[in-house]
Amino acid sequence: MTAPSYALSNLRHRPGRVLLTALGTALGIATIVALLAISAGATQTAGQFVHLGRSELGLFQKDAADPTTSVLSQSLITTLRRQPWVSDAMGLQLLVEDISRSPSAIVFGAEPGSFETQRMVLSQGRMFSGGDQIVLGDELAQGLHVHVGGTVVVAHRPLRVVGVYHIGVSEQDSGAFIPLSTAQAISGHEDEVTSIAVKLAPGVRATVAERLIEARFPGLLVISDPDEALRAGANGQLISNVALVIVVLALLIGGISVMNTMLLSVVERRTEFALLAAVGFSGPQLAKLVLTEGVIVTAIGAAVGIILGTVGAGLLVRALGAQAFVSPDVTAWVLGRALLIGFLIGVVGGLYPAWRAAHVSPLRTLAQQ
Amino acid sequence: MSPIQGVSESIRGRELPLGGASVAVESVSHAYGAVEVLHDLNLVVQRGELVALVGPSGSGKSTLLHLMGSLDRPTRGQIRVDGVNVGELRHPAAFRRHSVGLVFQLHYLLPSLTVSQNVELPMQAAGVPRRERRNRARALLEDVGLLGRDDSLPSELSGGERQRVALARALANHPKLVLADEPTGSLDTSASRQVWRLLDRLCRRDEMTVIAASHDRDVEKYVDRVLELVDGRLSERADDPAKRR
Repeated sequence: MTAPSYALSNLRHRPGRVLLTALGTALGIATIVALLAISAGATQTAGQFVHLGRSELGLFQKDAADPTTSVLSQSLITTLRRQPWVSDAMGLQLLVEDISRSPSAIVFGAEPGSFETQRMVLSQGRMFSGGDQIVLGDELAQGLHVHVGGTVVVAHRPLRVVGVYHIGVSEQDSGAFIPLSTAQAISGHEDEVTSIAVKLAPGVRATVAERLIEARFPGLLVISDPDEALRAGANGQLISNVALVIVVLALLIGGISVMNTMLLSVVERRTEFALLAAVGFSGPQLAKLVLTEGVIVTAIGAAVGIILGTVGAGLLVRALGAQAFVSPDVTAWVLGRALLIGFLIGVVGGLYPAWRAAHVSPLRTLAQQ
Repeated sequence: MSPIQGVSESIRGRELPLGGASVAVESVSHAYGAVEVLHDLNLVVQRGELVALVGPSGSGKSTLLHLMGSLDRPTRGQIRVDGVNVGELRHPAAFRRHSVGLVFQLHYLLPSLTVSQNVELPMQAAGVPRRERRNRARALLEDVGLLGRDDSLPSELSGGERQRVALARALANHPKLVLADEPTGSLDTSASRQVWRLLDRLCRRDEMTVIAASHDRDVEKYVDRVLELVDGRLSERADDPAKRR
């Protein structure tokens, strides 16, 4: 009989307690998986914002609370286009929660001839040409049950649908595009844009361009790596930090929960550990038995937690109406981290009980019987 | 200091086997706090001897066995098992694992493990490979008359059967020394007789030294020598040839 099979025998003997401990761990792991998946999804979404129109760089106002609250001067676009290392630049004005029938949809204000609008594949109608026109992503059109010729109200302003497009980026296909001037008028930011997407000249490295722009325009935040996109907003950073704090808390709470259960188990089974010590089990061997039990319990919890977390992340995003912004991204790395945390909970939670088991006095304990 | 209670090379006409461990108790005293329970004991148990320790409750029988089994250290004096001072062992668990088989009054079988798994425990501690553990446990269960009960749980056995499993567990790692603390203390007469016969037969066959504490009046039938411990002091009972085996 190996340590795991011995541990399994003991765990089978106490199914109720094992299930309750595993459930506690499962809830902790589920929270971690959901948060990590949402965080990864948010990073991916932010990365897609940055690389709108397959641009290499995304420019935002430094210290903006959120990418949508960034404000940049439109004149900057002209300045950037003059730089030899820039192939093209376009301004974007983002409008959030302005379509009352679909609050999570983002409305992008862009110039009709910009590289972003040029890459749209219009499945119905045509690109907008006038201020009171709008083209809808196919997911939004389907959700609103609106076709070409219909009307969509954006911030109390009725706009005529002239086309339906598909880009292949979730938040754009579930959003809409309107002329930049119309978006500026709606937001009250004349001659201003939310962000600027920059395409670099052939052969120019993004990191070099990033340094050049930041040196020349100190108030700008330049994002070149999609994984760094959450830097574009303090709120994004906040979410990321909160996720980290919750992960640490889950680790602590899970660890204490496992420790409590394992300690109770060790106290109840003192006679067993005393007998094992009497027949020749060393302290480290006894500690290993307890740690193995702890890790098995948390592994069960982690397996259940991963399933709960994966399902829960999607439900949470839906409940918050944020599916247009964030699509939970359950990657192997997210699952790997959850499993690692589950393993750590088992080990950390089992350490003290293992120490107690390793120091049970066979003489005193057996004499008490 | 009281004289060492030794024995001659042959005991009751029986030549002692070459196996087993010799045990020498040298000027041993032991106290729990201020209360001294063993007073300056001296004793030699030769290889292969089967010795019974008798005496009233609280006389120090269990304490002496615990000291011999390295479960405790004497307050004064030393106990040598095959020349090794067991009170100064750095790894007493390793000594118990390889050299000592312990049998207690209560069987202490783990209820969640099968009979076979219980017998395998000391072998698991010693790192014996799984297949060998299974085979050896099976052979031991056959020795104690429990073949076929390998997969039973302790709760499915009678008191006598459980104590026989405990005996099989004590013999699992072929110890040189078996220390049995009231092994029949919680059994009826018939079951007690079975356990004593087993202990006698197996330990003689496998050439082990056995020291057993007991209240059992019949114990003299099965042992080579009876030592009486009264108020922490040893005395050897006068031979009664009628009780010899």
